[in-house]
Amino acid sequence: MTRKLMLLAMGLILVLSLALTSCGTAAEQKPADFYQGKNIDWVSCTEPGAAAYSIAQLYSTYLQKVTGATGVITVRRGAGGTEGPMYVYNGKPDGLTMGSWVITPMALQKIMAVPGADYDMAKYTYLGSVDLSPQVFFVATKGRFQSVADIKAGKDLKLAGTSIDGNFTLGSMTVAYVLGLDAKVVTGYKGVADVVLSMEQGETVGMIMPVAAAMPSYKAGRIKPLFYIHTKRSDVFPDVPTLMELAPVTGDKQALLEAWDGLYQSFHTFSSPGIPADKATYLQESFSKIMADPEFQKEIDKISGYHVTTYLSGKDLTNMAEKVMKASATSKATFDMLTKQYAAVKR
Amino acid sequence: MLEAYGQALVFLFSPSTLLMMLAAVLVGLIIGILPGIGGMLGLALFLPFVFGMPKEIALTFLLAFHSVNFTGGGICSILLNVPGDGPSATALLDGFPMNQRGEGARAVAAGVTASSLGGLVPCFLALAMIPAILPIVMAFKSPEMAVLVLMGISFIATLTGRSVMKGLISGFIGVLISLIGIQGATGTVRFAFGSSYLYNGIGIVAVALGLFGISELLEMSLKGQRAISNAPVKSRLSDAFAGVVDVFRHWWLWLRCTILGYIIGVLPGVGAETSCWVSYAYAKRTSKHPDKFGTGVVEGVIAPQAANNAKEAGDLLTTMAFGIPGGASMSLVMGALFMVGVVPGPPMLAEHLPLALTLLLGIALANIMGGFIAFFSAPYLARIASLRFEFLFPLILCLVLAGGFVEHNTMMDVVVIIACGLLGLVMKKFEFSRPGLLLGVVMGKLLEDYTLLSIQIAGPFFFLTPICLILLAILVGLFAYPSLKKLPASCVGRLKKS
Repeated sequence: MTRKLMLLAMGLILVLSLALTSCGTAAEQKPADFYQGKNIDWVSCTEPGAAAYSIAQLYSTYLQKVTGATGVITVRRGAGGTEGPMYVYNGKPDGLTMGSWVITPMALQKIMAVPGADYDMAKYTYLGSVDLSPQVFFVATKGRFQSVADIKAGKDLKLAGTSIDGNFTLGSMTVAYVLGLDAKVVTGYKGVADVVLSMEQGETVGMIMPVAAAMPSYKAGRIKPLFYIHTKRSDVFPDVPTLMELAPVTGDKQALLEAWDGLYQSFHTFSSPGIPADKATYLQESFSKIMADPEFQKEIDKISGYHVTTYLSGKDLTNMAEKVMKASATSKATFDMLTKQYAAVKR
Repeated sequence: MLEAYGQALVFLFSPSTLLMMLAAVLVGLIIGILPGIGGMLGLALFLPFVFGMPKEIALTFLLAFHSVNFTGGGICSILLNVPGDGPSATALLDGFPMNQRGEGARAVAAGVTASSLGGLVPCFLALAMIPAILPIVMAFKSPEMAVLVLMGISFIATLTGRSVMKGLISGFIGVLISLIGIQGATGTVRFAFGSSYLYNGIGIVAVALGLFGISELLEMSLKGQRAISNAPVKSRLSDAFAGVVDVFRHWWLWLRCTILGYIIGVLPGVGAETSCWVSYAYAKRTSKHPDKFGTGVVEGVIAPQAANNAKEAGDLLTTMAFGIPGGASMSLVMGALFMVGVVPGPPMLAEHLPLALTLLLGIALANIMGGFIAFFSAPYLARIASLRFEFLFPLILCLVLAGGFVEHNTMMDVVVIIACGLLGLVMKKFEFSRPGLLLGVVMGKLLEDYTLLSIQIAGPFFFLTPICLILLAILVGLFAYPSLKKLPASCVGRLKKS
């Protein structure tokens, strides 16, 4: 009996000591050690070739240098654009799932209650962001409309848009509303390349586009910027005025333009909600280190096609997402009103 | 100009460039041959290498790789009845029956010759054609594109097989499949049944792989077939040479399909699949023996293969000359140009003429290299047809399923492939038209998108523009032509009787 008890006690001690040792290892493992040699499941929410994809590739290269972890990038842009954000949102909170996209469509999908956008923007662990690419109204260089006066004088205008709940469409509707244009927004174009061609063909007048997306066509001399939709000018086109300068507004129109200040086109990287604080801080610091690297910045300038001056930390992004989501109900009501008034097709 | 040509030639014929291009061509052919992995994915894989490379080398590598991709895709279609990519699905309609007769080497050689020459000719015509292209591109607005796509979709009637009704039903099912998902212009979700996978619709590659690849595998298994070929396989170099001769024998068809592919290529937004299907249907419609199409006639291989590379060449030239990408893969090429500091468009021809010529001649050279490699490989590749089916079945099945999976990284695509495979089997058994269904999938969404855009822009009578009316007249003419051709003979017959 005594022998059995002794054996049981020894077994218990062994199990306990093993458990305690392993707990100690887990608790003591620093994030820097944790990431060494690990694979990161990295989701790109855009197709290869798009700036966000290239930035994800660049980030993963530099992150490997800083943390020793390898980013394995897969494209997930299904489910009407919600596949990527949902994949990261539902990912394990171990800091090994990341996503890269543009904050505007991600926020607008949520605000406009697009089917499948069941994520909470404020809950993601934001890591860092490259470039606050402003949104600018562009027209064709050789088109009929060369100034705001031309556009204001036009009748039955057709502005361009992509998907009905998309950034480009809602931006163009905002322009029509603030300037009081006699216009409709044509939806269904597949992207910037399609729209630029339609502007050159005289099919549409112009569209709101993020500078990063419009840069190739701008540099090819096909389009020219008329005004920023935001309340402040940017360094990219310092001589281009803001919509507010052209059409001084108050009340709901002013609020709408201020809302666009939160909808800059920023290429952000995010991880699943609820990852441990030490890992989140480590990743955010690593991203800040990468973004401060002059070599990295040089590569980013190459991808963007202009000198990028804005890099946001994970904490800045969290604040931005919270702000956008706080105003989401008001934004939705306004965008619904705009869609009703300016969409060339009904939902 | 001559100096720029000289610079381009010196660069291209340097040993290091030639070696690098050879590597790009080999990889391009292999990736093209692998089912489902199209040039788009390949370009995406190689894009990171652009960072930090000298622009001439980076771009020549990417373009050489891309130029021969469809050539490889056609080989897979012909030999295994598995489309290497979406556009290559047309090559299997007649290529695979030829392979089953033991004429795989001839079919492959005909396909690669048509394809390589189809990619080569537009490069030499490019500089002369560039001034003519821009007015065409500018004239084809949404209404004109809608009517053009309508022309394409009307070819379903040409691909019907024995029963017109069954063919039209197949096409209609294809159109319905193409409408699954979120409608971009209105945001309406259709036929998704709450599944987020279906929001983006069903991919053409998955449908093609299932409809042709899986269904053929299942049928061969059910029949207890021992090998792909039912006859002794002709796998000598002379057999392959017969395929080259075929292209020259049908040079007029090849030329028409090359031009057709090129014109469709310069029009942004139509897609490579359209050029191949339209060329195939056009070849069948204008053939003296349309009833033989689908049973293994070499014209059925030459027509789509000539169009697919010509389309890519046209697309590439438009991207470089005007900065207007015609399709998704060209957007990627445009991104690569941009990354190395070259802005595609008129400034490129003005500021980087030697580079533009290097790329142009590089595409031509890649097509020649690809053609030679594929031609000399054809006799060996054709021997696949004589391999025992129990070895081939698992290999092809794995390739098809893996190829379908990698496009979107989702198992749901594999489910779609298997479902389409079963559908294809049933369709084959009851003589419904599988090409008709695939054409419906390819063109249905395009027709809807362009029609909706046109209605928003010009109202319900958007088709009342001169170009639309001309296109509609051509469409009516194409359909009336066979009956009109018979008219004089029947009139003479009646007169004689009376």
